[in-house]
Amino acid sequence: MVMEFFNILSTLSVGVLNTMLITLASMAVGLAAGTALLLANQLAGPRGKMALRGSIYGVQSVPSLVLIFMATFGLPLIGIRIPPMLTVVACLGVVASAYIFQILRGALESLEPAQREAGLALGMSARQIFWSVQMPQVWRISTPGLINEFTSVLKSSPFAYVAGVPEILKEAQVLTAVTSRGMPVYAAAALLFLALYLGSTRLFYALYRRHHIPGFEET
Amino acid sequence: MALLEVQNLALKYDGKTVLSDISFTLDRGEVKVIMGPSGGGKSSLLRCLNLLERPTQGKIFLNGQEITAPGTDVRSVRRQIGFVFQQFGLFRHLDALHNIALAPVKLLNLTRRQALERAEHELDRLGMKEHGHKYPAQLSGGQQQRVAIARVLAMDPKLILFDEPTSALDPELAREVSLIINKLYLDDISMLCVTHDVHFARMMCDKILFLDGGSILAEQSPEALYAQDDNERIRKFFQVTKGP
Amino acid sequence: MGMFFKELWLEWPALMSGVEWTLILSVSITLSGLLGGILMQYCLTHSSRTLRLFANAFVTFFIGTPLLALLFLMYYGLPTIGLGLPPFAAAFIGFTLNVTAYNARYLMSGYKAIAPAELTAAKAMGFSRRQIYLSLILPQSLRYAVPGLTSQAINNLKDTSIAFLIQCDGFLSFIQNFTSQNFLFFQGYLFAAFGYLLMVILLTLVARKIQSLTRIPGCE
Repeated sequence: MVMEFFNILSTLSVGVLNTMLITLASMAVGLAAGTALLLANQLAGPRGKMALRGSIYGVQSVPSLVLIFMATFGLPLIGIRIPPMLTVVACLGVVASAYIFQILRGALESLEPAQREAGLALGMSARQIFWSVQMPQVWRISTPGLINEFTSVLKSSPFAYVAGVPEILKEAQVLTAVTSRGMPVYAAAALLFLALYLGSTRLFYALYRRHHIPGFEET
Repeated sequence: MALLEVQNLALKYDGKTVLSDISFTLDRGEVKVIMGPSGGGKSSLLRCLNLLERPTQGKIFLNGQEITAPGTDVRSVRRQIGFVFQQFGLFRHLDALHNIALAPVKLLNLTRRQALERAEHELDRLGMKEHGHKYPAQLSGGQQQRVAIARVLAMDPKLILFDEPTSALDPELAREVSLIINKLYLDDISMLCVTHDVHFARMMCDKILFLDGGSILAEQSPEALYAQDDNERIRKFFQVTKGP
Repeated sequence: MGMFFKELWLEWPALMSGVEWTLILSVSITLSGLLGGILMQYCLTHSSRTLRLFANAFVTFFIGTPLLALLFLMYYGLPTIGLGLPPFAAAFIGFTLNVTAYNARYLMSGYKAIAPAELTAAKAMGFSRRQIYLSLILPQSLRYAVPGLTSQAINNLKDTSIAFLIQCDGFLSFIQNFTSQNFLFFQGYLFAAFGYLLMVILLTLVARKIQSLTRIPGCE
């Protein structure tokens, strides 16, 4: 019984690589795009800001699964073909970028205005202030939020199976079809995800604490 | 030629007059203090001088060059004029040394090493040598303000503007910062300082500009201003600040 | 797009029934998840260490595992040990466990916002544990947690989309059936996206109303 469970776990762990790949790649897309959106929001006029916020709200309102379906089954019909892995990463990355934008914006708005003014008064440009004064602090303040977003992406990664990417849950499905032992297989899959969740959050928080700067409270 | 010359400066916000018809000059090495009741436009005047606010009317000359002229390189003007804020405005992710070194690296193209050397020198000058590696959150208010002043000095400005530099501090710490600023006075640095502290004003300045309702009511030496009784508003202001 | 809407019009009753199932599932898991969250919070603030440990493990487990894995466990896993559930029941139980864990977390951060002096004062006045929970901890943490709880309710609406992966009826499963008849996949999923957007906007308005009604003067 125990042996069997370990066998299941080791079979499923083949999918761990893809699960982590999807999560990390989507997070990278989300961070890059979220930061770009934040910069755009800083530089845009009132109308641009409205359009930006509106589309971000739109993306946040649509379930990731619907986006993945649209990209996987809809896009090929209008002549756009993208490999499954890329499709999933693009969809989850876009959704993550919307949430990451909100996290970063909250952090940016929490900075005292005097710092920006001090930068201006020294003769720095808005862009220089953004990159060398505001962003380093924004990263720090938003780390707990970003770690949380990482876990959300991790937990959305099983949607990749609808696009046919062999991640943990897809492996579990295959294994169930072969062995018809759904209960231990899906329990093992859940435990694998739990282990990834606990492992990654612990690791990130440890790194965060190690690079702690006085004055930035950790939650 | 005066270091700074302000001619008929006016500032309006949404049709409301904040400053009107402000004219004065500041010579090299001269120190003037700006006093007056809250809401009288003192901070707005300082902010106009380094173009954090755009004056609606009037002209400002720095070293004979009109900085309010269209096409002026605003950032190069700001590089020449230091600004010390009431709320310090220290960059909270950088220790004291790097707070000071950031602008010289980014704006004066100094190498990191040169900038840090300069930062160390400025900290030493303000008696903060041993605090270079502390972050703002680890410094007292007075120490933070000294780092902010060192940060401004490291840019080697022609003029320093102080916006109530001691108002956010306890009396003890305020005194410590006042002494530092007074030392700069002895070093012949040109300064304009908004303050409520009468003793401080008397200690360091040549002339006080009394600002109320957006215009200059008087420009006199501290002694003359405290003693005068032609103007009711000025007399009342000093009566209150002097106490019973 | 004209053809799409013409086809859709013919399937109107099925569309409405799909939307109805989505709403029924969202509302019922929001309610059951709220009750579950309250129960979990009671355990998390209980004096018994065992109970607290159990509740903590519960919350960590259900926050740490993906919803989809949980639903698969409920729907495809349980039958293999003789506990077959119909899709809706499997979805309801799976979602409830997940939402319970999240709501417990929101309630606990609301609990942390309560001034410790209030609890000490209540103890000093001779309130029992249960009285303190019911009359002090619960009402205050509920109010503090309103932003979290309402955003969870919005998430619930979006999350129910995945119920169709375990054959549960709903808006998305209607779209899936509909588009597999006429192959208008792109239009179909685009329509689904706008459908969810519309539902989320309506729910957001309700959430704002609730937030403004439950605000405690002086507490943010």
